[in-house]
Amino acid sequence: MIQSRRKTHFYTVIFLSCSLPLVFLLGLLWRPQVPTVDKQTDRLFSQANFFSTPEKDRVIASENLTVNNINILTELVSSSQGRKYLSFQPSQALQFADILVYLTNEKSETINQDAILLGQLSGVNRRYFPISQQSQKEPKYLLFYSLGQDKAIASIPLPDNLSSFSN
Amino acid sequence: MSVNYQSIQWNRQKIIYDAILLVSIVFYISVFIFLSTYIGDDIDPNGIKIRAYGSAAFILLHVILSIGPLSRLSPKFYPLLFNRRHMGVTMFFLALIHAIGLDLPFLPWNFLGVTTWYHDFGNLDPLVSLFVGNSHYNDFIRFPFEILGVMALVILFLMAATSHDFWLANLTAPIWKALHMGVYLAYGLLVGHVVLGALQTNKHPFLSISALIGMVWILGIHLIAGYRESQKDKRVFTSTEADFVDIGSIDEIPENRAKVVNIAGERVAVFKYDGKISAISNVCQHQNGPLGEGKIIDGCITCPWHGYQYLPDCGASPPPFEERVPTFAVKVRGDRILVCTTPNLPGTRIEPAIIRS
Repeated sequence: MIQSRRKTHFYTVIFLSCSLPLVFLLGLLWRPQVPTVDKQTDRLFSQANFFSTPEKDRVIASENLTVNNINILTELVSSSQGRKYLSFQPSQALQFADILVYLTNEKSETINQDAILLGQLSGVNRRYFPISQQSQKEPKYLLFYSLGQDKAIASIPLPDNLSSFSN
Repeated sequence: MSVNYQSIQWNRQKIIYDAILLVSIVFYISVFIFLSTYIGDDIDPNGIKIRAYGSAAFILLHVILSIGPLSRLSPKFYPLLFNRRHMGVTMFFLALIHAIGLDLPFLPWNFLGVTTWYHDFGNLDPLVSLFVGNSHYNDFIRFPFEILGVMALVILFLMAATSHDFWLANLTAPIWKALHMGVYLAYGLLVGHVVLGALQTNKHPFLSISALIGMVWILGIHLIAGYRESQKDKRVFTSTEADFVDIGSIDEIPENRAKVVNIAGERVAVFKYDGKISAISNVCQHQNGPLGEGKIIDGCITCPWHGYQYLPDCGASPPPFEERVPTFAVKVRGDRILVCTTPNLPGTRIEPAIIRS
């Protein structure tokens, strides 16, 4: 290297030798006591409808639904414990804020009294929504609603094979 | 810099170098995934792959940064310098895979990178979430470490994109070197990325101690090598005749080798060969490698880094190559060697000083 580059190189190393150990030391000393994700936190994920073991489930019925021109793979699945879920996996992210999925008895652009919240949909990851006793009363439609924008994205009929919750 | 342009001038050494590099990386990633899967407790497979590629890139960066100072400390490490750029480009791709994942249909080990895996659970696009998800810019410990990783990745991309000899020839070696010194900024950012990221949640002492040893090693060998180099440059030679300085005796220089001295603010390589003495700039035109640490092969001074060659009397590469370096007039007085402090234009032929026995 030429002399000027060699000097720059040397002073850069001196600067790093002073700053990086400081960053390292403070990074460890001030490390916050945040609990890490372990088996205990599975319960929280479960409550938030994030399930990570779909391969253990049995698919009862599967349909491709179209919402706002985006395909959503929708499946009725049964877990090894016999619990049923509706799973949704969009092929592309729906560009809406805070998307909530409801079961409704009639086609509706608003959230009615009888609408049953399944859960929140975002991104392209698969979401599993447990089907409650309440939601097993012959739902006919799926309502995709943007809470952030306060408007309905789509209200689409729930195919018959996906609504056989009690079988 | 070649007569007939070739994108990569493959040779046996480069193929062996790259093969060892790729096998080592595949081995490391496989072992990491295997051990983490079967020994680790309750770690998701995607997270393991993210860590495997991220740690592989960080370790490879340590290897890359070690080669320079090690070769300053011992010529035994010169072979590692030979193809260091392939290592750098490989390291960039490992870091990129860590960031965006692998999605190649013909590969069985596809996975989601950190951008998708950690930023696709909200309403925002993962890339937007990456930049706005954590806004604690005024808090040291909660500083958005992801941004440090992104900045380092941008620097590594610039370096990988300009690593080819095409850029080296067009930017010129000094500018190219200055650009590629960005690797030290990238290293600093990545240490911050690891300390404020991985080390905050993974509190196993092994990880902290490994990162600490890596940092101490890199900074330590750079400081030692840098100090030794700065001491060499401080040596002042006495002026004996107008414009000439006494750089030492003939016996100090082994046959077909050189003594490197600092004259008028730049290093000069003074070679002894075939009963003659010649002096040229120590700075190779290719990557500014140390010509004085090379030797004369087939009548040509050969750079120890990549084998670029120069004729000792005129500082020009033998035809058809066109590289040229400055030359210096030389005199022999008894057993002392005198070198002119004023360089001649690159490629200027200077009559070698004859050693009279």
